[in-house]
Amino acid sequence: MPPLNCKVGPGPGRARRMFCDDLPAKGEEGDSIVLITQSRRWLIAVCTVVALAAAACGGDDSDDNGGGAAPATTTAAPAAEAPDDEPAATTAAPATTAAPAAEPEAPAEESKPPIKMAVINQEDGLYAWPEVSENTRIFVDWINANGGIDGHMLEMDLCTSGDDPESAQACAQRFANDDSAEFVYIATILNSAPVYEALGPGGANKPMIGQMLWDVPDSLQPGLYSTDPGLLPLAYEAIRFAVEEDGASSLAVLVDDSDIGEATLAVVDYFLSTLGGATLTPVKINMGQADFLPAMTRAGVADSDGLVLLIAESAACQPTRDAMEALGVGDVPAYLGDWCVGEEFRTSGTAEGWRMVTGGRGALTNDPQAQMVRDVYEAAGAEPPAGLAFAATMNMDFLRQVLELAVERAGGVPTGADVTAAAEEWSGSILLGPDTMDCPGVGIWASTCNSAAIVISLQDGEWVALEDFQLIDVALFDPLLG
Amino acid sequence: MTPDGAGEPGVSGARRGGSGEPGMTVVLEITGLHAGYDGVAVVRGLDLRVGGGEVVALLGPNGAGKTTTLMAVSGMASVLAGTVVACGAPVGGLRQAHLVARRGVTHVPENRGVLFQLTVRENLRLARLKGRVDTAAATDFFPALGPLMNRPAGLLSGGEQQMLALGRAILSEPKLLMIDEMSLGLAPVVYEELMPVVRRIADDTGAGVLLVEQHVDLALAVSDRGYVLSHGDLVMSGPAPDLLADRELLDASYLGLNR
Amino acid sequence: MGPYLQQILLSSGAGAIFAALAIGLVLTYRSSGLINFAHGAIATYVAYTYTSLQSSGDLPVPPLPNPLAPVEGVFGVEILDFPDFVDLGDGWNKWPALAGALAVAALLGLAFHFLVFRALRYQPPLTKVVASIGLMLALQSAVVIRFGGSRPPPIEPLLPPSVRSSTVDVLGTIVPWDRFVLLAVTLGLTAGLWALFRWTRFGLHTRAAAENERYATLMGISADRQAALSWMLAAVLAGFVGILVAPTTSLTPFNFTLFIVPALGAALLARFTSFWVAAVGAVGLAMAQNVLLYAEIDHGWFPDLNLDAVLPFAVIVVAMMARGQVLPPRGAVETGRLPQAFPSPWRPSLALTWVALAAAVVIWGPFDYRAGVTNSMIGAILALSLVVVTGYVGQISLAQLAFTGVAAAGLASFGADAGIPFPLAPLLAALAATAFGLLLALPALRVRGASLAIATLASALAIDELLFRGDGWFRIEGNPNRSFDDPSMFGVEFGPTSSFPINGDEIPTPAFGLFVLVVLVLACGAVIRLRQSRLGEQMLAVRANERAAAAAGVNVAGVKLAAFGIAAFLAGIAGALNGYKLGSIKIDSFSVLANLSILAFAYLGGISTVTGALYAGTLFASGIGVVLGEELIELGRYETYVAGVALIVTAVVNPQGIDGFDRQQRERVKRWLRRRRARRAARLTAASAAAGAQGPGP
Repeated sequence: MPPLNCKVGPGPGRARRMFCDDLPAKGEEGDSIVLITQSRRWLIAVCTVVALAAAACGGDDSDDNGGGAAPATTTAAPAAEAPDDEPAATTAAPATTAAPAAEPEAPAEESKPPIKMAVINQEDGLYAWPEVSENTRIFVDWINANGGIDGHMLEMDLCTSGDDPESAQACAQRFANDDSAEFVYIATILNSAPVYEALGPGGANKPMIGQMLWDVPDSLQPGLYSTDPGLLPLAYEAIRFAVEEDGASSLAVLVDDSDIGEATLAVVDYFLSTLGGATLTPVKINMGQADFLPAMTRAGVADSDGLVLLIAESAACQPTRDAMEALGVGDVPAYLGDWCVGEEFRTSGTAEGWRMVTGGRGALTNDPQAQMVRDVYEAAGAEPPAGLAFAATMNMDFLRQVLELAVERAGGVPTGADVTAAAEEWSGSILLGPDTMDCPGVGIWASTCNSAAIVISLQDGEWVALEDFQLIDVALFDPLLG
Repeated sequence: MTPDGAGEPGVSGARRGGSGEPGMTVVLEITGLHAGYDGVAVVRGLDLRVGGGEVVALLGPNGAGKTTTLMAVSGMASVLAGTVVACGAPVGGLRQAHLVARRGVTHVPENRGVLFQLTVRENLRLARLKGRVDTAAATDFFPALGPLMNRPAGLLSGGEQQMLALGRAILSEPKLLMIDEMSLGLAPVVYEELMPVVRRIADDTGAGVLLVEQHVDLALAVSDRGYVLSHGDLVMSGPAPDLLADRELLDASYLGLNR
Repeated sequence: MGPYLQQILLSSGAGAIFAALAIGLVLTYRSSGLINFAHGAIATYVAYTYTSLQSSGDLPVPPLPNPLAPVEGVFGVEILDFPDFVDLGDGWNKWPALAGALAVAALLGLAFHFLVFRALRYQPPLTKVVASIGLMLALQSAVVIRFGGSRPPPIEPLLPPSVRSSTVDVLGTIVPWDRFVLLAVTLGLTAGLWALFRWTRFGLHTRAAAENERYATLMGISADRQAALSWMLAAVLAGFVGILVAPTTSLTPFNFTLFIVPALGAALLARFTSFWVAAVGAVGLAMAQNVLLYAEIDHGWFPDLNLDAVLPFAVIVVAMMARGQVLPPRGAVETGRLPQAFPSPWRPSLALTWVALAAAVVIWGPFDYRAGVTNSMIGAILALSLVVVTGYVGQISLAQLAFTGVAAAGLASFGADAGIPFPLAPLLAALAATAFGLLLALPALRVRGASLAIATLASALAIDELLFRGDGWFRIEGNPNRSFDDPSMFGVEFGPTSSFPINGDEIPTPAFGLFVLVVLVLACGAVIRLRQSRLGEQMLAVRANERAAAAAGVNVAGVKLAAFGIAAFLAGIAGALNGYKLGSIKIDSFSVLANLSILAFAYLGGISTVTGALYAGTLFASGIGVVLGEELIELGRYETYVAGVALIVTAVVNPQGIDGFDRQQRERVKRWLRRRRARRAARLTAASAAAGAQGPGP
């Protein structure tokens, strides 16, 4: 039986008709038929993907609001060669399909040159905070609308990363190679090690302001300035408060099942010996366990004077509360950092009675400075930041103050050295800490600004301060470097 | 009952024991069929017709295209050219294959089409998609199935599975019943018991039966008419007695001598 | 009562959650033959929809492609604007919100069936795995895009407060009622599914279509319709479970996907067939986990090995070794084949061109292109490892990224700690990875296809937990960062910050990129040689049909061991290179899921050829493909979403991957040319014959 070379065409009724003439070998035939349909489908597929990706630009308006945001990457020309080429009202590269935005804050009337603010934010991946980019932009807009930094407008250059270390490294390298970026603001990043490699003292040596998570325990690295005390000092202060102020003698401790959690435990262990007398039962938990209840029982919450919650995730707050209520120990106080500080926790009462250690007054309900920050966001029609975004906002205000000092010091647009010096001579503001809070600039802890923490608590739906700012001598953590 | 010229199936019932009413319905009409897989035609230029109440045999050696023809009727082989009209409606593509069965076409495939992980009763329940199936009625035709109702069908013998398949086919009350190689793997004794059942189905229910077989004599013994395929082409067709008479041609078709 | 018993009782909550997910996995497999890695992501998306409807009356809309986007971009106008949320009034009450969310779930299930899985019914398991991975990525990122990552959404629990706050004293242990209610609901769902499959017509038809689609079609069952209904049911079930348990477990974009691993273990125990076994197995798993965790506290000598996380893996492996091929085979209408593994003849001129091009970009290109190309080259080496184990031998491995982690940690131990110099240190590190690869080959000797995929995924998790957490071997003490010295030989350094005459002032410098290029060329050459060698032929034989290969005298076990070993070595090389590239090592606790993405992108590139691996490399994290993409389109937070959709689209439209498609097109062109030549020759012959017939010329 001779095989046929056929093409598909319309036939009578529902039948397909095959028009056949000459003859490739059997089997190939199927290929060519399939190919005709497949190539069309492939075309559709490619168009879909391109359209989807283009929609990312076309559909998302917020990406192009705010002070002079440039597209996320440079154009093909090496950025290093063009330091002053970034006009405030950047147009997108020709092939970009971004919705164009007329920049309202084009510094037409200001004669002072703008300050370039390089920003890294983790927007994509399993852990992602795209909203922090918006928050940062809102804050920058507000700064610019109120005269900028002593007349210099802030010009935000945002580089976004995913949750893979390569994209974090790409952002860091971009700014390391960019001579016009004197300092870098880290909004949120998980893979901070490559960032620190590229930008820290071992790399381009540019000051970094902001928070680094996970890789680098906050507050342990020179060159990084953050008002977020970091998990370790917060943990320390939480336990200290429990033992010294509340008189707890036994504590159940929930620790995150990760490297950072391990480090926390080590700190806790170490300092309990100096705080005298308290016993603690640490139990490791991770979000993969689906239910906190068995772990809390293992930690013996029911028989202890308090629970120390060292899982730095907002998602842990409600389940912890529920489990404690279920075990009948809803009245036992919990001691933790500021990851459960947020509007939804206030209104739902989740954190009622809990003692939360934070690096600034931003959460306090009746604090005028804190209200100012909230007003900034509400005026922009955005939700006030919460959780990680909240901590990021505090850093934004810190950056503003540091830049003001730096501009004053430099008499104009500051260099990286100016920013570093300003950070090190900065001392606290009302919002962020006591007047005595500063960035010590001594030893390996050269640049930490985390020397103060305040314990707040939710009482009757309001965040109130239970104590004044406590200065933490970061030298306490020196043993960790061993 | 009218005796008649057996070459005109559509005109009268040339059946032994059939009802013989004039204007018998045509349950399957195949015209100029080219069918196959992957764009390659296995059957070429087939014309075939089955009327209600008659048993039609589709004969031929291995690879002749008999199974392909049945598959084409069921919508599971590509119709490359020609038309297939089953139970009044043309057959569509693979996507609409399930509709063919719902129109009253029951196809018992080559390997019997029994689902091994379901019990005998559950297999029988699949005879009708809607409504209850009187599974006990299957035992009227095949009493041997009675004690096997709760057994997974995979544990049945070949003959029992064939009975199950036929039982299900009967319960489905088809208008067109197509059976593919019922004799395959069966002892002749068993086979000889089953064949009359096929005839009974056609006679009692008025269903048209298309019987694909390799065993010429057994098939033609119960059939009214027959078609012979060889290498995808139709080489003989006509009333069963005529086919049986022309033995030489029949053998030649099987041995591929008359291409 | 004893604390162990207490832990068992208290595990009912977690057990119910795992069980509820496990029966959903069984449902999807029994109806569509697909292991749905995206099951948890569906639960997440629907649960978030519920919270949105109930708190603010807004219905989230997933990011939709805007076909007019290029036009809009060029002309600077906005024609089509899909909303992020549809405002449906103020916050709904919880029951209407539940109904609304479940309606969305049903629509999603229907959409997945029609757009994706219907087309994949006849494809091999690998394609289906890739599609469900794409779905998982897309759904999860859709949640992050719409809801952000900072704030967990407020949820109004389905169970009334009276139930949620009351407890019951069981033999001295206080257990909250709602855990038992969850357990009861889960068991009820299990009973419902069991009854559905056993007694109802729908169940009967689904079982029939699942066993043999051909026969079912002949009986008038629309396998398509059964699958569509099953998908809707599975999606609604997932959504309901998500909404029900979210208050207990807290709702984040990734939680439910994390729970999928124990759920997979339980489903595997049940052979993806029995709802009851899956449910009971999942509950048992949760109980065993908590008992183990308590034992770690109770007995100080218990090493802190995170056995609780390893447990699902152990269960899976034991189940597989004991039962062999676990998943029941299915009689489909057709089963597709893996993409063809074309022999790639070593074409020096073509290879040289690409090498020259890559070197040129690395030396003279801008730094971000350089970084992109370097990332792609390392990614290509990783993809090569998948080409060997999955493309050539057909073994689906979801553990390759874990091997890179092993090698990176090995590099830290051998290189940074023990001070072993380059190139010995990275080679040793790769050999360490190889050792694990050989271990992983053992389950592969017993199982195939999707079962093996699950086993490798669970073992990736186990490697992660056993090695890098607690008292694991490669445990990194204190400061989680270990810095590596730049690789160097004969005094010349070629790390990312090493000096280089051209473009040496921008990081990364070309030195490292060239080094990686050399390694890539060597790796490609090795794999090409492998393909052309006798072992390569044997590998393809095993891939095509293990039994036939064994009958032909191929040592199937040996081939599989070799495949896993070679693949792990290649992955180890990639891991060591990664370590040098990043300059330090950090073990990402979500690498388990990243393994899935690696496989998916390798498949997208073309999993059976070396060229396919090169394509895949361009698509990997921050590879040159991503860099170029960012040049043209600002993807930012949409990157993962687009990636997920692209994976689905590719799996559906072109299972051969980019490379296969490329080859098909080239073949087409060649054939067309051949036909033209043949026709022309025929015409000439005819013409000359005609001329000859007229006799010799005048």
